[in-house]
Parts: sequence; structure tokens; C-alpha cells
Amino acid sequence: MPGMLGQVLRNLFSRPVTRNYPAEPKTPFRAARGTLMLDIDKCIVCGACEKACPAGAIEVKPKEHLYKYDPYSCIVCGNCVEACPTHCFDITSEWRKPVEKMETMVWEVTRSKERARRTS
Amino acid sequence: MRASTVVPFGPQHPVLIEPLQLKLVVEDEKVVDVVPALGYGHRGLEKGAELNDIVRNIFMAERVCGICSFIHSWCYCACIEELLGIQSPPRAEFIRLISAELTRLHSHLLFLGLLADGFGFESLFMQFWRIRERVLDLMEAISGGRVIMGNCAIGGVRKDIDQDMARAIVKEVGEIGRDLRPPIKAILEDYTVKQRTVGKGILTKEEAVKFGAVGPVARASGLRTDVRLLGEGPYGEVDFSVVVEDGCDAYARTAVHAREVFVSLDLIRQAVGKLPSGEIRTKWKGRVRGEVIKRMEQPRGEMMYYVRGNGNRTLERFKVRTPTFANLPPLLKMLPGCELADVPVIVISIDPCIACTER
Repeated sequence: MPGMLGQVLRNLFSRPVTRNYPAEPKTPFRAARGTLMLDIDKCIVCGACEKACPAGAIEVKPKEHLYKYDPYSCIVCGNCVEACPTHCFDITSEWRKPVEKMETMVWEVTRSKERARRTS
Repeated sequence: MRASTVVPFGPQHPVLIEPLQLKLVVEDEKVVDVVPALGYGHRGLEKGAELNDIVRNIFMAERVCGICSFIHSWCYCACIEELLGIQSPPRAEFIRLISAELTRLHSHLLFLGLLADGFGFESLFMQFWRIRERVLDLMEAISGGRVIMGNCAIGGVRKDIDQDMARAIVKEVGEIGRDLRPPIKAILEDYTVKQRTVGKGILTKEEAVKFGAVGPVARASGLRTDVRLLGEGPYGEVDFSVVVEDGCDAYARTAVHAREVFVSLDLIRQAVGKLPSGEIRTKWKGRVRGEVIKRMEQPRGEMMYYVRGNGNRTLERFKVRTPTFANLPPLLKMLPGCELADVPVIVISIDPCIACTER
């Protein structure tokens, strides 16, 4: 234990290494995979993202014109970002905020260039 | 004849971070026999990997273990690359080496902290984990993931290391090495630590060979064994020495981990210095056919991947042999004859990872 005495004294007179969260939130790293953002207007309903998703968070139903994304199953791996032919996805470095109720996002989409409409 | 009692150790126990049960047969305070009970953390990952396609399996392989995750994805990608007949670019191989050594670094710091916590030296535990946090920050800055890096891809890596990042890595690695000296000196030279570890959990060199010990457990028993020594991939282009101790006890295993931390720091420094220029990813197409076995050195020892594909979208067979699976028989040899109070330290000294053992 005496070997640690110097370190213990330094700790005693130095500032805490922990952050005063939430008053001082952490600045995210530029490369951090925080939240998956989806620009549904660019979607051509090809289903490549559904096939690429390892967590099964994306469900594309072209016949029913529905696009479902569950952000709480998503592991933000970025595989859909690489798979998407029209670059619908983007990953921001900000982490998702906590929510009271977990809801799957559902959009109404068509193969035509009509504007997609968020239904829930 | 003395009366023996069976004391269940785990699956929930303050020193165990994962569910392992050891049924200890004790006579008074002495352990005379051990019966392990595994299976609490089985997730069926091998079967799951046979249902997914080969790209989605990278993320599945990475989640076999929550600590040495990157090396799992590297080994899986190396298997698929061999089956596809492609080669990842040299720059990607070096980025993989840096990521793998950062994983080893944080795993060893986790071990040293948990060991200190295991015999009640909580101040030392805090010192190691405070430094480990900086390694995790480095991993997040490189790849975007704090522990599960998600950086490996078939044919290379997904994120490059630019010059600013390379400079930041070298600077941070130097500072981590400097800040690590006092806690490592404490864990190797402190009287209290030596009282709890020296002469505990003896595994002789012959027993290590006989029971198939791998990694730091084998190296602490005097065996010079390390898959990195085969020089596969980027490990053939960097200089490093394998840490071997002859103590055969829990202290020797601690010393191997403590000294390997500096080897990893040096390897990262060398790899950043030798980082070749060029592409980070090779394009590929096709499906896998045939079978392959790959071995890689995890922080806990040698790991083996077996992958077989038959030309379909999915794999036909996916098999993982993790290092703790090989280190459990030596643990069962170490425990009989020890005092009941020494069991936590001996169990932690093999650095058990039950999640990847049970997959």
C-alpha cells in the first residue's frame, strides 16, 4: 500500500476525473456512431437495408407501402448506410436521447417519386 | 474421516462479472474438489451465424465476446477473405493491428482492475479503470464504438486513421504508458498483493501442457506460446517480445498481464509509425465455398475459428473455440488444495470470459 501513497495524495488534491453530467455533457467524437438518421424522401423501397441489417431493426413492405424502423433494436453498426444505393442514411455522432415510450417509426412510402409520409 | 461440504461459488458472486458456477467440495476451509456448471450465458450464436448471411455475421462474430470483440470480427473476416481468395490491403491490416492491440490493452487493464478488486484493493481498481477509460476513448475516436468497434469489414476496415488521428494516438499512448507505471508498480511490488497472489493457484509447466492452457495462463507457467509469433499478417512486420514468467502462480499470471500492457503500447506505436499508405478496403463479390481454420491471439489466449461454406448465401458451419474454454481445465487443476478464501483470486487470475466460452 505505501507504493500507492503518492498517487492517493495526488488524487486527493486534484479535480475529479468524472464529468458533472448532465450540466457538462460529453462532446462526442467526430467518428462516434450515435444515431441513425433516415431521409425517407430518397428511399426507393428496394429493401437492401432490410437485408443488410444484422439486428432486424428495418422492415420494408413494398406491397403495403410501409417502411418500419425500430430505433431501439438498431445497433448503429452502419451496415445499412453502406448498403443503401440512394444514400438515404446518415449516422450522427450525437447519442439518442432517452424516451418514455419506445415506438417503432413507420412511414408510408411508394416506389414512385411521391413524397413519403410519416404515419406514426 | 473429515466431513465434506459443497459450497456453490457463483453464478452470482461479487467477484464474478459473468455467470460461472463452481461447486466447491470443501473440508474445513480447504477445497478438495471442484465441479463446474456452465451454460448460464449460452446464446446460440454459432447456430445464429448459420442463419445469417456472411456480412451480417461480422456483427454477430463481434458480439461473441464483449471485451475482445474486435479480434473476433478480424478472425471471422480473415476466414471469409481466405475462402473468397482476396487479400485486405496492407494499410487495413495495420489498422486492424492497432485496433486489436487497443482491445488487448483495455482487456488487460480490465483484468488488472478486477484482480485488485477481487482481493479488496479498490483504490488500485479505480486507478486501472480510470486509465482504461482513456483507451476506450481512443477506440471510440478511431472507430466510432467504445467497446464494440464495428470497424472490421470483409476485405479491410471501414474507417481510416488520418494523420491527425495517428499523431493523437501516439501522444495518448505515450501518456497512458507513463500514467500506468505507478499502478503497475503497485500491483507487482506491493506486500499486500504479493501475500494474496504468490504461491496461489499453482499450475506447473507440465500441467499447463497436459491440460492445454493458452495465453497468459500458459505463459505464466513458462510456456512460450503466442499465435502472434507465427507472424501472420502485420505481426510479421513489427518487433515484439513475448512475456514469459516462471512463477506458475496467480502472481506470475498477473505479472504477464501487467508486462504485456507495455508490449501492446509499443506495438501500437510501431504500427502507427509504419502505417502504409493506400486503400483500406478491397472490393469483393461472390459466395463462400470450402472450409477454413484460423487462429488468433486474444487477450486471454489462442482462439480458433472454423468456417465452412457450401456456396449458399449463408454459412454451413461456424465454430468458435475461445481461450477461456481452453483455460477452464487448468483452473480445475489449480483449485483443489487451496484455501476457500483464495478461490476468487485464483478464478480471476485466469481472466475468465464466460460469455465467449458459452457463446
